[in-house]
Amino acid sequence: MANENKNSSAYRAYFFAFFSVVLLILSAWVIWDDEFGLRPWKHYQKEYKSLKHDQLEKEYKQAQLEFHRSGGAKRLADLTAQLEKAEAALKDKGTGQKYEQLNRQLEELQKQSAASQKQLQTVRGKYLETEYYFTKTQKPEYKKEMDALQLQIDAIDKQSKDLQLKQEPIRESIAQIAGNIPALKAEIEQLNKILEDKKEKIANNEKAPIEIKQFLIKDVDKADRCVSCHIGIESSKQPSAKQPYAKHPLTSVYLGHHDPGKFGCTFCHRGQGRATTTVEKAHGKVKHWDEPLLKGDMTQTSCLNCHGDIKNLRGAESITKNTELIKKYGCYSCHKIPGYEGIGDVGPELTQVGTKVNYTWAVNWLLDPKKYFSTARMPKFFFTQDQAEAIADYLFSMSGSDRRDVDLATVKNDPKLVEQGKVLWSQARCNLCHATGGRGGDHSKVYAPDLSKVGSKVNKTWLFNWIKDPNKYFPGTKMPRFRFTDQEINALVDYIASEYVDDEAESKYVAPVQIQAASIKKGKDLVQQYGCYGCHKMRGMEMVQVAPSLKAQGVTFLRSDEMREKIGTELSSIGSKPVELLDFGKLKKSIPNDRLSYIKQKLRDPRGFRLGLRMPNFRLSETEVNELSAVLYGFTDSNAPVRFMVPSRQELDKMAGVQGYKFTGDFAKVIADVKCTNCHSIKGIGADYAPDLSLAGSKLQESWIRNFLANPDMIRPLLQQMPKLGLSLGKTPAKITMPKFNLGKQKVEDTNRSDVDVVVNYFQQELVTTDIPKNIPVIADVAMPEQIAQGKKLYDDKGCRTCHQLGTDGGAVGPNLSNVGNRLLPGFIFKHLENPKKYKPDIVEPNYGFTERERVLLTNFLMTLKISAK
Amino acid sequence: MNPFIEIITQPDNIAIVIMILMVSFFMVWAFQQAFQNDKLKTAGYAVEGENDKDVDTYKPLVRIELLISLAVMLFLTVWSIGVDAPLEEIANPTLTPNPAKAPWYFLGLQELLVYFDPWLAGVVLPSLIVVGLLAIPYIDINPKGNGYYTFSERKYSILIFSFGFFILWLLLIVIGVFDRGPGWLWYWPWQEWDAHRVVFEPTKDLSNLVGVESRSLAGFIIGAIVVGVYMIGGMVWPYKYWQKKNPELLQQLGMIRYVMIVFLFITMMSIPIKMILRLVFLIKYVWITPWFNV
Repeated sequence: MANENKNSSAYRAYFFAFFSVVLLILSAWVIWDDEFGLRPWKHYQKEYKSLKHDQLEKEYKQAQLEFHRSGGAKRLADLTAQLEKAEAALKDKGTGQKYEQLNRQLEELQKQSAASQKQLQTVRGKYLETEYYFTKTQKPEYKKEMDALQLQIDAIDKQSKDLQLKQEPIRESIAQIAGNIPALKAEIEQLNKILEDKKEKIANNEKAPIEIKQFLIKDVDKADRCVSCHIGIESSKQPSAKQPYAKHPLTSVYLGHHDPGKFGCTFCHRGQGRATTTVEKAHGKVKHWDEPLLKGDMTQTSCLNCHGDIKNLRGAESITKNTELIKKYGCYSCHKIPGYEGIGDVGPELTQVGTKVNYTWAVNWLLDPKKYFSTARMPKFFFTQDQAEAIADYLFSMSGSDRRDVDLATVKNDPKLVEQGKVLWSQARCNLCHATGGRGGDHSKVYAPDLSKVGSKVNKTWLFNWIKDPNKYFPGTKMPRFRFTDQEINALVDYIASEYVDDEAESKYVAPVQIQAASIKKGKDLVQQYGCYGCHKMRGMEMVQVAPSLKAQGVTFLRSDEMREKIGTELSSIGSKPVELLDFGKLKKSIPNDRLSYIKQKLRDPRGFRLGLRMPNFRLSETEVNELSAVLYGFTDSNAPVRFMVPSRQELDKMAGVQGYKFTGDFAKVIADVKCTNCHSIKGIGADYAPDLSLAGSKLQESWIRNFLANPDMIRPLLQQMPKLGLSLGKTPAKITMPKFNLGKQKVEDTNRSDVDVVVNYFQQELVTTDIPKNIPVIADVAMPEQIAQGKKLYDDKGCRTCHQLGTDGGAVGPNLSNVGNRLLPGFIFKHLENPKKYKPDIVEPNYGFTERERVLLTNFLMTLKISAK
Repeated sequence: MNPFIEIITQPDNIAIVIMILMVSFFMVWAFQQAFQNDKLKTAGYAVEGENDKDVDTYKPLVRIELLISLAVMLFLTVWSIGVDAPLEEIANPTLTPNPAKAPWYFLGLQELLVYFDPWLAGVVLPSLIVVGLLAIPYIDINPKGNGYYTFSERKYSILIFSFGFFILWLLLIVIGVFDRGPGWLWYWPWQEWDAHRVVFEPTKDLSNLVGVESRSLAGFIIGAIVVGVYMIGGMVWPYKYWQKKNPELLQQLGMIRYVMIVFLFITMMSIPIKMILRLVFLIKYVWITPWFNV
């Protein structure tokens, strides 16, 4: 439209003005947002700076006070006065004029020297340039030029050396005239420096730029900017304990061993390291970020990323404790978990279970194991009565048995035998592993079933055979073979059968009922569906003899190939599994849709998500759920570079092609029989429940070993040794003594040697180290009694009694030393005192830094501490 | 929150919501103007702009454009400060996002993948769209409607364009954005997305309906006949119809233009037909050939 309307034109002008003004305001907003709105870390850094300033200011003031108090200020004033006097004296002597003249000469020479240096630089630069062209082109003219330049360089060099030489005598004369002036000046400067340093620190703090700070670790592809807000994380003296200014807890353990410059922050703590715009984003608590920040003990879950052995790892105490649960409940039986291969079955072998337990008991156990005893590890599978009976039928028919219960009313126990059995029961310390009536049994270390109602569970024949030789029924069981005579076993069996019975036990099948083929088939399907063979040994069942009548009805048992290794989901990377792959089912809306919540809910109520899930309910306490989920959360697809990895000893041995340690000869037979490694650790095999015996041969005296093995309950109480276990649990220590295995009474299978002989021999041949000398050095210049007295003095002076007990005097942190002269070899004591951590890295005993002489004296004293056994 | 509101307010979807509102507004506005003008014309009045030959660009248009560009700049600035770029989870080479969606402006094309062989949906149909749009100036012989709104004078052109743009392009985008969830399954906006949802929807090929294996020679022949009848019949029948009704129009168009128009039209119409076959009759393919499937 050519003829434009005036009104509409003005109207547009207003619009234009309005938009322009708004755009201007918006631009200001954009700048503000970019500078402050999106950079909250600036605020934190400023705040930290001011806190740091306050701290340094305080330190400066303190240093000032200290300076005055310690007389530093006075000394400074003195020195200044002396300096003034010396300078005045210099003038008075009339040498002042000469002094100034000399100084001027020196200055002149220094100027010349500087000029020749500059010339030298120029000529050298030209030389290098020419040399480059000559190297490139190989033209002779460049070579000529180079030679000419070299001549110049030499000339200048010589000139400047001459200048240097001329300076020397002048300097000397100046020093002569000046006397002590330079020394005074130096001391004044040094005194001033004490405060200057502090001042400089304050100034440096002021100058520190406010900027994004980050750890950039290329090979794990991380740029962790956490330090932009957590600015004081590495400081040794934190200006504030408030977040984000606080320093890292246990800095020496965590940051000391994991330099943040190489590991970053998110490798252990997760969270979104690159984010800097809000706290929520940085901590990964936003949608689509599946790795929220780990705090506190939960962070220890990350130790599993790299550390193969977390046992005894400082700073990993919580996760180490938590991993015990995996072993306790045998998660690895159904789920593939790396590092938990070949541990052995959690449940007992079931191949012959029909000869062991009552049918009614078996059915009730299948229905709800916790009903039988509350510490039962077996989970609840929610079987119906029919299903439980079908499985029991399957298991019983496998061992050629019928539905059969012992009639408890007809069981007769000889009162005399019961009395004898009771004594044996306590002598053998059965309660050490087995709980009865709520007493005994430590389930965190050695798991053994509660025996309170066992009399109603198993039959006496089986019990007799079991105690006689546990390996026969269940090869690989943890139950040791006690060297009882048949008569003793009968006594124990009668005692157990009379004492530990379930009053509520019912016996439906006192008259045996034949098992139906249909029920066995149903049971077989259930066994396969729920993977009972994960925890219980049922292998080789194709070998099982089926009764002809059942065989005719088509009864078969599972073949090994029908028993898949693991029926559960692989858990190797459950801690980094994408959330989309987790099926929250009907709980999608009722629980938070994140990985940790899923894991916890799965442990709490495994079948709660939807129909058709098979995982049984372990009825874990909420604490156990938290602990176990912390471990599972640590099983990640960690893309840790190899340099981070700390493989376990086992893996290292495997890589190096070293065979793991194996017991050999007759000693292996003893171990397999008595199961020493249930409690003791020998060369890395076994538990840490009782003392490590790896170097027992170098440590213990033979006579003591023999006495102890024959009569553990006689010598042991004298030691009154506080068990480590009691300490770590933080309870009053129970007086735990080694069970009496009645060693020495029988010969080892196929040999002529007694088991004690075998043990002693193995200790002395195998469990020794050349590190520990047989004999200790002899001190010739002092008589033995005097040496012992000196040793005692050392013992008292160093305060050994704070931890160790002698007789009834002393602390209970370390072992009682009343009988140490009978127990330990002098060489061991001598070597042990040199560095207590060498043989027991987690020992609390400090290293006193004894001299060799002191160690000999102490050893000699300790070797006199004996209690004669009567 | 209500899933519907949640979806509407997602940073990703703000653009689509704005698009729906603006397209609806301008569509209604344009049709209103067109109907008004039609009324005026039937009443015998002249319509504004109908007889203009030239219109100045400078200043009228340039001024308006400057103002609009200012307004758009303001809007974009506020939007970009207020709403962060909607990032999703960190890329994981071992895990395909579910659903894996194309950029929103291509979601209509992606939707076609549900109904067609990838070769057709991804190559042939997009090419035809471009070719068809390029051809418009050459096959449109109606000079009416230049510089003013009208409906009655360009009934077919407007209807076909509206169908192609609003339904086949925009509606499919809206469906792709709001109604396609994990597994590319259909979710109503008020339904929650569930990656573990199970849908049992067995599909068949056309010849399976009469009991012939679609991958056999017989199935091939049946499919070829059906597709052939559609394509050839779709070309011949309108010709016959117009020959009777309006032979002059055919004369003006000429054979080449006629073939092009009808070919593009029936190809376009094959899309809704195939959609109905797939959605209502669960038919996957009509014609299976060793090279491509229709």
